[in-house]
Amino acid sequence: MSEGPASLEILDELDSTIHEPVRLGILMLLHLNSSLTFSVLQKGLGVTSGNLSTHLTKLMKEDYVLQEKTFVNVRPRTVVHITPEGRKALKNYTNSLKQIIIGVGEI
Amino acid sequence: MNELVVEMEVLAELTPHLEILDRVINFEKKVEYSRFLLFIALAGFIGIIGGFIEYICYRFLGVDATFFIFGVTGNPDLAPTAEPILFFSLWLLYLIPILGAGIFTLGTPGIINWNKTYRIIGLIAIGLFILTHFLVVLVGIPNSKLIPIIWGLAISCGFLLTSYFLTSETKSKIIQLGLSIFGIIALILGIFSSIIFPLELAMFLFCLIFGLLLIITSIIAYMNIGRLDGIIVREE
Repeated sequence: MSEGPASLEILDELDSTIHEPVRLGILMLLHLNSSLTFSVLQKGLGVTSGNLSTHLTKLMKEDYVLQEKTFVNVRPRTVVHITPEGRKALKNYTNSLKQIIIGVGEI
Repeated sequence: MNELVVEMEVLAELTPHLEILDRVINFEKKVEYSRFLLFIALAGFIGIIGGFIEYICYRFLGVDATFFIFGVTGNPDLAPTAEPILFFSLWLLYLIPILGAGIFTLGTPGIINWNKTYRIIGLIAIGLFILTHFLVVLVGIPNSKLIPIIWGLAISCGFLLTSYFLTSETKSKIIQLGLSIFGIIALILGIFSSIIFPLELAMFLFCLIFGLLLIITSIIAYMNIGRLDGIIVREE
């Protein structure tokens, strides 16, 4: 394996929960907006509801997000919030990613 | 393995991430654009309120609102000493939107992210606002017919300068074009109001027409471009 500034080994060290593109998108949107409804996340990221549910469950297992289920005019509404742990994990992930991108740019 | 090949593999692995980040950026741009349209609509609302104040001032006090906030009135019965409530109410109407805009946009997450560009735009707005009042006072009550031209010129400068600074920030041609058109319209409307309408109605109609124009345009833009195309669907 190469010992260059950016390598596949560095990618392996990234937080695997966040490294999945949809989960990264969820955390980015929640980082920018604090809380969003399930539908907004779904349309914003262009994914199916089943796909989004699966990814949200994984993020909840790591305590990166919280789901709040309420009823508005008898209709169910799910609001997703980012937790401080989620923000911290995203910050660590973006810092690592930044280093990789800088490393690739040096080639 | 060749180092370059490894780097290409890194980039290939990150491609889906970059695609999803593109979607996040597009989402945020739409949110930002909708917020921008809300500010345009609010500016229109303030314009209409301004027009209403101008009408009250000309109709009952006989002078422009700018002269009245400095205590000058054409009707001695409504002078600040005789009618302090009227005088201070007008001051409050002036100060509350300015203080409100300042206070509610400070901090994070504020309504406006006060970066360098927005700070420059804010300072231009405050500077033009003060300069316009100074010019109106300088022109004097006998030349009140010129006031819509002064305001038209100031608003025009404000919109054109905002267009210039905001374009470098947002890279949006629509915003640049829209603000420039508003700037030109403000100047033309100011000149026409001054020439065509009687003194008592000139500022009222100038503010009313321009305010309505801002509100209607922002509503149309929001419905056609800014609205998040079904994204804000609360129920699933």
